[in-house]
Amino acid sequence: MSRDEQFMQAYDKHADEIFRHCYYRVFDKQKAEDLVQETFMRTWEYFGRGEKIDNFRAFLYRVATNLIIDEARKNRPTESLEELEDEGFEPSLDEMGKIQAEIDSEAFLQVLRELDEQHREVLTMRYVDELMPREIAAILGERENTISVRIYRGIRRLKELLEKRQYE
Amino acid sequence: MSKTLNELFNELKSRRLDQGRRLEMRNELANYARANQQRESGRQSFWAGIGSKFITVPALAIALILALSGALSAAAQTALPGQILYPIKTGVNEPIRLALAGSLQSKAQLHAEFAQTRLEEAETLASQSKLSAQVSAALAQNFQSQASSTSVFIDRLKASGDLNDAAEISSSFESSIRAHEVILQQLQSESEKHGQNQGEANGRGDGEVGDILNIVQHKSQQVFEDRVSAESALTATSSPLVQTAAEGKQKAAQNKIDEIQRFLEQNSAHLSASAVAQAGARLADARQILADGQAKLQAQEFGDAFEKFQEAQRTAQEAKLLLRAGINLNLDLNFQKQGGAQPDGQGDASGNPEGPGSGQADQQGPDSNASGKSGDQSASGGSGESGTSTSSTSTQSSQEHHGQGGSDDSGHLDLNLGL
Repeated sequence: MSRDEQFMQAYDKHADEIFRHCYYRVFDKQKAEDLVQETFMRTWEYFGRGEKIDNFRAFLYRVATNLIIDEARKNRPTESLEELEDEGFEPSLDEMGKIQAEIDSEAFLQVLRELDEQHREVLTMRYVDELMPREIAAILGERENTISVRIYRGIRRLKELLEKRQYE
Repeated sequence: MSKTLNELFNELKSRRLDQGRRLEMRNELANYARANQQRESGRQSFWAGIGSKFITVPALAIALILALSGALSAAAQTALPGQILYPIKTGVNEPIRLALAGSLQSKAQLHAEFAQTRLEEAETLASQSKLSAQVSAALAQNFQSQASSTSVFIDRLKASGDLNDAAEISSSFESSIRAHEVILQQLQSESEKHGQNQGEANGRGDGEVGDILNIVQHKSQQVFEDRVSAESALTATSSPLVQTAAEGKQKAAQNKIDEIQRFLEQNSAHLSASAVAQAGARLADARQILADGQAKLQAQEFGDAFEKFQEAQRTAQEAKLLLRAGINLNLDLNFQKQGGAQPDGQGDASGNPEGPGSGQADQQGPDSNASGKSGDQSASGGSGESGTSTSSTSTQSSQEHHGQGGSDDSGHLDLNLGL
């Protein structure tokens, strides 16, 4: 298969999920579409000139994530070292989240937006994009432990926000 | 109803790209990938790629040696399809220039330039009755590819935050496409007449021009949408930024008008009285729009002012392109839009005063499907309403201004009247 065929195949496979990934970061359909396009264009620039891509999906996520970061122009705070001593663990969503939330999808989206960027990022990557913590870690350039901890904290924070909403 | 977090997240998974947008993007990417086959690592492939596509190997070797000296590549620049140097123009010069272009902005401009060059080549051949069906098809295809790439880079400029360049380049491209629509239409009607006189003896009739014209008209819609969308993005940013942009654009528009005025004066000997008069009228239009923009500026309506200044610039630019084509192709061009009086600013942000002839009924077919990216950009009848938020005030004022023969906006917008 030629390079551009491979590339188009990657588009067919991954365009939607990259869009989803971008959307739940910027919450703007138009912006998300532009980001998807930019992601694929840059990927082509790399791939089209002969560089190797082992895992298109991860590559695309990485490019998209970088673009989102540029877009937001933010600095992500780093986890303190002590916290990284924790054992890695993978919270199951059901365990954590038999939250009987009196909430509809609209409101859930709003709550998601209230989450701080760092938590939202890992939660959407884990539970919407369905990436494994190891993959998320590779994409974000963090340690897997860090990611697991962040997910755990993200869920906890999400739960707080949902409960707050219920009592308002 | 209460749900688990799991269920809530699951609902989010169903979000996806609009089918239409997804397909559109796919086409753009495919075109981009094809047009931008980057050189592979290793020297061999770059030359091999060019060699296999455009030129035979021995000719290639010589051509490259000479191209590096600059003389040949310069000579190739004016080559037309069928001439010996043409493959160097499209196969060597253009890719090299693209490869050397570092920024998004320069790439966008190059693609726009190449798109226009294809049209100029077609027009030159057509004016000499030398445009064959084969060449016409090839030029049309390359034009389409270049225009798509232009569109893609404009999007990328927007995505990267460079809204000024996105607005500037899309506006300039739009004026060029509109001018070419007029030129191609004139060529088509001339070759129709010619065909009638000759009993279509030479077979180089209006069909070839018609094919390219169709494609240009189709693209014209997208180009228009690109510009409106880029303007909207810019005018939606913070007020000081928009103010700065508007002030900058005012100068640019004024400069452009002055430039065309000088051009007109310097070339009046080569122009027909009608062309001079028409160009003069268009410049007067441009000055009026500029004045409208200045009023907006005073009133601190920076977004509207910016759009007005862009429009003034486009008006002047179109006039120049038509003048030049009139000289080069020895054509008598009609700068005014044909078709009935319509209120300005049908649903678009800038109330473009002019555009190519809209009178032809046969435009209905292909273009009415060309709703392209954002259906809400299209004109809706003569009501002067619009889908975009920025347009209403500018629509009003340009309506007042362009009362007479008010035919506004490009022909392609008319197609949506029936919708």
